[in-house]
Amino acid sequence: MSYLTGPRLTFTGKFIADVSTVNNHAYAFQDDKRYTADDYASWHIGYWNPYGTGVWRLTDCVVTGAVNADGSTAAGDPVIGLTVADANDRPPAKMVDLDTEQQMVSAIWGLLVRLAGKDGADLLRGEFDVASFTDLWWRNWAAGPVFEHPPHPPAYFGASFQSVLRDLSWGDVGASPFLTAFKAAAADGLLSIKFNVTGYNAGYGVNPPDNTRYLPNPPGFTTGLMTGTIGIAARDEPRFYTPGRQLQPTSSNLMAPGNRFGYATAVVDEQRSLLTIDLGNSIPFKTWRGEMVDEPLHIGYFGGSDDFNRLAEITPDNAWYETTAGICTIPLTDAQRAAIGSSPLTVYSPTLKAVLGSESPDGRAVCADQFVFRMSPGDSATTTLWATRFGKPLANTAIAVAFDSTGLQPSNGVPVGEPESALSFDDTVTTDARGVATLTMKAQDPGTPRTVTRKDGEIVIDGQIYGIRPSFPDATPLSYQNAYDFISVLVWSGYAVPEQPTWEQDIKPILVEYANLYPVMLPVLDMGNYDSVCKHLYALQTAMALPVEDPNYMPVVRDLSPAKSDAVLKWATNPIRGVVPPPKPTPVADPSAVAAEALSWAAAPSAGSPILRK
Amino acid sequence: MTTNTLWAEAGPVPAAGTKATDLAKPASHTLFVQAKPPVTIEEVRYNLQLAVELEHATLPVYLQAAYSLDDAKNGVIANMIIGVAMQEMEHFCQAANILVAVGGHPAIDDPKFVPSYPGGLPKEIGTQPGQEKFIVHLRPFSKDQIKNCFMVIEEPADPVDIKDAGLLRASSDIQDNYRTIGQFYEDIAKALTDLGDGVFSHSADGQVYGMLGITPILGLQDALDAINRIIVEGEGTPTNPTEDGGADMAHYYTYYEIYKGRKIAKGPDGWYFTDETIPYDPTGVADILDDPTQADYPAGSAAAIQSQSFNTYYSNLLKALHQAFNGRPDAINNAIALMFDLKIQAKLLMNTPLNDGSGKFAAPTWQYVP
Repeated sequence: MSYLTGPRLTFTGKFIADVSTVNNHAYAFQDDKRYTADDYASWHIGYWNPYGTGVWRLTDCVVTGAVNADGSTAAGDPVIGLTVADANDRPPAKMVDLDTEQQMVSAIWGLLVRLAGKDGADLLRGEFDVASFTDLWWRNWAAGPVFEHPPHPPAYFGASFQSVLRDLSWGDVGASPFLTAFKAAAADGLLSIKFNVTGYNAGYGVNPPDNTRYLPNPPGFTTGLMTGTIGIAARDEPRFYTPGRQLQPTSSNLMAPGNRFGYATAVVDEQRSLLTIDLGNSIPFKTWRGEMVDEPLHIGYFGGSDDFNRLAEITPDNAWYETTAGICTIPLTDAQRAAIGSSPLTVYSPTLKAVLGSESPDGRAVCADQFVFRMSPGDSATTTLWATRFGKPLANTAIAVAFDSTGLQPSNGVPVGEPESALSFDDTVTTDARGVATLTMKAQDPGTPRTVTRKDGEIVIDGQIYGIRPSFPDATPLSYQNAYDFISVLVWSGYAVPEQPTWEQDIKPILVEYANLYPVMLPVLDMGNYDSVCKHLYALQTAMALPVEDPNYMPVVRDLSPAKSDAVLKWATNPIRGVVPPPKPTPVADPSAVAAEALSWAAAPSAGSPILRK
Repeated sequence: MTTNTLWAEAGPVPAAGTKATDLAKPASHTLFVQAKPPVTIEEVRYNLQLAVELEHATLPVYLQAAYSLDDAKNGVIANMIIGVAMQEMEHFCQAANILVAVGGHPAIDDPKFVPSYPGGLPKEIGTQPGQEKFIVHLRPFSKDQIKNCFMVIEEPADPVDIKDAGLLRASSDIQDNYRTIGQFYEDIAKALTDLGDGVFSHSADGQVYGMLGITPILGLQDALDAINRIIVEGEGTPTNPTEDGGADMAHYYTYYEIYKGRKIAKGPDGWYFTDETIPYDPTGVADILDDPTQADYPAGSAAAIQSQSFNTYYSNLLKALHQAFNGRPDAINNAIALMFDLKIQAKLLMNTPLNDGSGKFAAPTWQYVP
């Protein structure tokens, strides 16, 4: 199943990601400091969207295509043209980073997806399981005419999200044969959803040599383009990954401009003899929100004699992309189906006479389903690892699991991935008959490894961030590799809830960070001010006591440990002020960290920086 | 841009200890409500629905003014207006609960529910014949807005100290019209009393309570108490502008105090200004458009995007309220959360420059998004 098997619908439109950016830099996490409006106006502290709300929304999305289970298009079905929208009766979804040192798995929280009929009545509502993006790459070759000045680098990138919709409620879908069949196919009460995001507008960059900040931001600031697919999910499948055939680009650096191909996934429906390949996040655009690179592509495989065997040719363009979300379904002959069962699927460019992307020669891939975790000391969490060979389950196979911090983005002077003793897991797990292995992770108190003394104060970032990568023990450079296929884990520092917390001693040190890093809230609620917090105590208590998946959960950024959250909630029941603790001793700056940050600042905004700070 | 330059500024703040001689409304406008005293339960439900609409109709204009104030410079005034708005929300919920308690279904999620600006109040609330039509503008805070909009909306039945100023139009009253919202509510109370306890469901099911001091309407006496609270909070009593004689001023007098810049308190022979001033700093008001609409913001501009989001949250709020009073009381939590989002979004808009050379900032347009 998954969105690549069975009936699916395609939608296209826009999204708004009004993310906040003061927290993008570790150096902004200063203990005991309040920023001013001038600080927020500065690129150094405020960065490109200091007053971001964290809101993530769907806008202007319509159904552009529908494909029946047999691979035929449901042309003329009334589902075409319907609106795909987010919640209309509750607060909007939020998008937040996992951590200042891991901004490559930003997740959407509390999203409700709706399919609205022509009369406005909902035909379908489903809750989107919290999901993070993956497969970020430099997808737009050039900025294009909209920008008067060079855009901030996020404009160039593309990425994708995959998740499931659950708690489905259906309206009267009788008028649409497609939706009637779609509803019947969703027997497990789950839908699979995947969307591609690109053409994001993060304003103008601040680039050498002049480092000028250009304002106002260009039209469409905080918006981007998306195409997406909703298909059928089954309970026993991964929610965030499709264990099919994984194609990797031949290019070695997807974070640089000029790439021709990004990661792709395909599945074979053996019963119906169909190959479905998702190129939705694989084909670049010539310019930002401009024309897709429209050279023909051959989809095929390498046979035993190393000859390329073509299965289909497509010529992508924007209309194709918007109506298919980049997904092609290709009927296979029995011979073709048999041949690709043990041969690497390949995408070939007849124009360049070059392979753009391919499965690995051995056809193996392994990936975690849920790949982002937040854990407290003492917590245990599990994820499943899905191993395949040419898309089929790889049973009874050992999977090596090891720390790997290479996908994190440590700031200068801020350690990541240590101490390793705070996160434990088996270094080898074995897949079952379905090719699935369970990985259990146990967290302990990492202490406060990210308390770093600098010249202008102390950076305090709670807990520690870890990367864990599953791989085949016998992997070689020819094996399938995707830098994004690792598990990110934030382990919070241990914290004992005080017997009787007071504002000055216990709560202000926790909450003032939110006042500092999320200034959009300041005119309404100053989290660093006793009177302001007391005035809004009811709202704060309500929001902080919600499940973290709720769109209205606070803090929006979801980086507060449950123990500290408990302390705030405990204090709120008896909000005593207490006495101001004595000042901390003046910190002594680590000169190497200071020098490193100075160098980093010179390098960070450059368009070619391999580390994209959103 | 003021409706009446005479009232654009309140003049010097009165000295402490002087008598509040102009406490009564000078009546540049007097509102009336078409008097259709309800008799049947259907008519009571109709008027309660109208009450729900009326209580809601004041919120955008009150909140626009309150949110336009910089809390650091004009926090006292902002809190006073928000205090009034919170009571309007409470009245909204009380009226909706009574409607539910007598078998009605409050209709809240409807484009017709949302006023447009400049415009009038809901359709059965109008201007006294012979007067200039009363038009509500969506504006930032100003003394003029307080005087010519808020105090008109909140005019009590019988302003105290009427001897000094009087109601200019008192003699022109038409028998068929309610002079005030309080009278409108009193007729609902009377009809409910005549209909008796039997029209109530005697169940809290479907009602929304537990916040803003609201308790469920379980029978006639609860409904009468709730209506009394609405009248007293909104207008005070005929002889006392404070609610129940306490420290909280009824809405009209709260706005009078803001307008004058000084609190009032009851003296031996009337109302006097006290030592407590209500400071107003004209530099602490957002420089925003009057009567803005989404169309004022160029497509794709930050103002347009954030305004559309505001309108989406506002419409979502109405849908959440509709659900809360139509079988899903828990949806009130979504409504409360959305109120918080609306305030953040309003403040964000009022800090978003229009970049059109005017130097002005964007503002919420309070429009319905289907």
